[in-house]
Amino acid sequence: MKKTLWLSLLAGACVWMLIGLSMVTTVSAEGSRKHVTPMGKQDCYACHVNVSPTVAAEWQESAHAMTGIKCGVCHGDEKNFQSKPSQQQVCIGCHAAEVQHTPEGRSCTACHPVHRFSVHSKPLRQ
Amino acid sequence: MQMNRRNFLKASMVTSAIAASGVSFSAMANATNKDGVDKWVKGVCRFCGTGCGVYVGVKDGKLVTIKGNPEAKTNFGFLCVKGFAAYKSMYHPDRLTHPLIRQADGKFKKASWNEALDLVANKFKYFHEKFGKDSVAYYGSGQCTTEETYTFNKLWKGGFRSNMVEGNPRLCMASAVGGYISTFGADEPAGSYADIEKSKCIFLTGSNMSECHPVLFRRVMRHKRNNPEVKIIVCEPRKTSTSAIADLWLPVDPGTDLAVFHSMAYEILRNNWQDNGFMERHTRITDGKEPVTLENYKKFLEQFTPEAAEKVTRCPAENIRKAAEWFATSGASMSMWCMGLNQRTRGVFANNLIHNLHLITGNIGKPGADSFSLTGQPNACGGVREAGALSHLLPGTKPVANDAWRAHVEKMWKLEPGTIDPKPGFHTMKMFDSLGGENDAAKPIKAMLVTTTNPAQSLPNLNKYLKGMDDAFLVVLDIFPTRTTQFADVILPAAFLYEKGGVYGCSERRSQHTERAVTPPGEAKADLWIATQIAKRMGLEKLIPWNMDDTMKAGEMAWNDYTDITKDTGHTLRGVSYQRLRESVDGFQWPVPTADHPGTYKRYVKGMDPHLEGLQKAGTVPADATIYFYDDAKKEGKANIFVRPYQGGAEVPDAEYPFFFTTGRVVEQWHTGTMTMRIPEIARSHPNDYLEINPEDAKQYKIANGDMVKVTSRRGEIILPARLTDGTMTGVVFTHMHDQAKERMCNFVTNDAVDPGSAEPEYKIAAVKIARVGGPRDVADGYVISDVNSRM
Repeated sequence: MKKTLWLSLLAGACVWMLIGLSMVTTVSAEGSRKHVTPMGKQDCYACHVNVSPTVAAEWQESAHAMTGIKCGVCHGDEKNFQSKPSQQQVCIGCHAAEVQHTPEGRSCTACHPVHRFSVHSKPLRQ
Repeated sequence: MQMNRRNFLKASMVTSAIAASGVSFSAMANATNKDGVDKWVKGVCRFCGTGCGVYVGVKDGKLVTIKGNPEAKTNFGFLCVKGFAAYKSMYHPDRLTHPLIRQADGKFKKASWNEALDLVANKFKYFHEKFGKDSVAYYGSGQCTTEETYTFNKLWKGGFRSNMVEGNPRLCMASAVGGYISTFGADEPAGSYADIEKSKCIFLTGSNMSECHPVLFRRVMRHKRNNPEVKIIVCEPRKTSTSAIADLWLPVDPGTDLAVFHSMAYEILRNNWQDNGFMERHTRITDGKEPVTLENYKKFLEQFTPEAAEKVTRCPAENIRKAAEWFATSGASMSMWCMGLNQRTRGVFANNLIHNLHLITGNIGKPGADSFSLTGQPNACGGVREAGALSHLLPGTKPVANDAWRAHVEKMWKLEPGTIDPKPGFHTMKMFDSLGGENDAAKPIKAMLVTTTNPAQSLPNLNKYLKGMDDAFLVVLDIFPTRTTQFADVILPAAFLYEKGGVYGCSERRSQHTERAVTPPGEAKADLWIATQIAKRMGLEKLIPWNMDDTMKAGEMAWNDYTDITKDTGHTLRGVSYQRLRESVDGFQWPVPTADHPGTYKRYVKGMDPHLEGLQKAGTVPADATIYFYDDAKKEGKANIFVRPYQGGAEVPDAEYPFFFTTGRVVEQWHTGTMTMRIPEIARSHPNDYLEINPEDAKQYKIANGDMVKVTSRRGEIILPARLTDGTMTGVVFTHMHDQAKERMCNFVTNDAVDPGSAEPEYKIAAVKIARVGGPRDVADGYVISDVNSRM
């Protein structure tokens, strides 16, 4: 997401930089917010493979992808989109015991990069 | 309070006290404001047969979230996308909330429950009087609870005296039942999911496990990651995401894998990799009628050298050799399979051949070794199979034709001897073929009650059966409008699992309880309540007395009634009272003979199987037996290694229909999509089915990615967008089973030929022709049927 915004900034005029800064601030906030562009009907991955190819590729190789945990499971859909999903609402779905033991004030993704899911393991295949 | 084991155990003790005081369980659950819910309620996922344990979060009387149960032995807290999102469909505006009765003008009109139930009961009585007891059929589901399935089964077989009882596991699991019973004498796996983490070789066949059982696949995946030396072998026509972690892929044309299994057996015996001691002590070789010597079995297998098998299957001979070696020499091999093995005219044989591999190598009855049939529905095992809700079975999975068992059930049900009909009713395809209008002399079944399943979309060769559903008096219990509701005469609004509670029994013989968490919308009711109200109106309240409004109390009575029948068998759940089940954090695997027994990880093994130990104490099984198949029909404690002739599909490609057509699932969607397509995150991921085709085939037919392709079989045609993929073998096209749009419903194309042993249809194999009919169209509509008055 941030990559997209920076690319936009590079292409934009000075006035857009101001708006861009505001959007960057918004992006960092946790919780629901409208998706940057209308979702339409396309599959998230089909678009993000171009918009955020690094993240898309990381996810494609991840344990989440291998067990069918696709974008919408954590990030929601048009009406309930979260660019940064809440661990108390999302991660807890499958990792209830771990979420329960999360230190106060810390988020899962502080240590566990969800798109790569490889902190505690070597990659499944080299 | 955080939910953890210690707090849960304390809560369980409090639960006992509260139960004694009569306070509702629903009111008692651990609250934690940090999660934004008022309480968490324990339950099970209502989708596939894995049996994932869950907690649903309730706030202000509404289900607002869900999480996996970390202490569940099935999923250890993990959920797939369906389980994680399921509850969202509960609040979809399409929910059926009132009984509906079709009027003379063909439209549905809202009715009261009294009106609707009186009509149903009176119609059933009328047909019974005019056409006899077998003129009214029941078609149930592996998605009803055990209590519901048992009650409907008792109502029909004990009350109406009719065996016109079937369930949709006939369409997906009946061949596994046939395989287990013919090989081992009794249904369901000997082992458990726990064998995954103890195995040294995992053989996956007839299943795209990563999409169909993703939570179990996760266990396989982690086991492989933690133990790289474990061998994973995948045998199926498509190279799917399941193959991503495989060490070996055995590509086979649909229906030809029997040759591969025979060939593996050939290689094992040729190289003397078999376990001679195990074979001698615990098995016999048979052709189904006469015993066969090992030498003659070897002679039979000589026709299946790897090279000969390759000609039939297209599976490389070297791959077969390697698979045979790994399977036989790993030390602990586990196989797992699903509909790809079962939905065939030789599905029982295919199951037998997998069991054969385990028996000749001794890969059964020890940790990490088992032949394990995965199931696609949450309660195909606990409900339809175990409670005997098929046309030929009684509770306890024994045949109606078994005189001793029939007498036992009659006694337990307090019926006069001779009440239960010894003659099986019709299997599913014959049942629907026999369904028709009141004035149609060729159709002996005049009425049918369908619950929690969608035959007007899910039956194969669909065109053949829709008229019968239309003409007959059809009663449908469901939570949403479906294709089948559009053919109904009466629609009764049903409750979702978390709105009613009850028991589900999963693939590994584990029964788990779901507590009712919330109230169903409008006037929707639990199927259990509906069944008992019909029984009451038909004068059968003595047979089925649990007709109170509190379906949790009713469920307990039904459960006790059911478990009393099987208490002295290898299926016993005698030690699992409803209270024990509700208090348990992870359920119980039968046999459970006593209230202090923890459940059975592995059957037929001394020291693990309490039923075997009971038989040894009683002297009916030799005390020194370490492995004993106690339900062996010949009473020798042996399993059967079957010599089965090779035979491909009932319909194979020819000049006119040159492609194999096969079907399956995606991870996001559930069966006919009535629930999952109503969840936006899921509809986005898979809004429509599409046709997977190999690029070489596509080039030959001038088909580009996204082009619309007409797929035609001898029975019907559909039009789907193409998706080019190397994962599909040339000569094979694949699509899914989830799309509700008429133009894309795959079952207009599939074949309804059945396995002569199990009566299971051959969904997985058909011969089709394909043709490009146009460029890309936007069919990503996430189509759902919303209008019960339409046929669109």
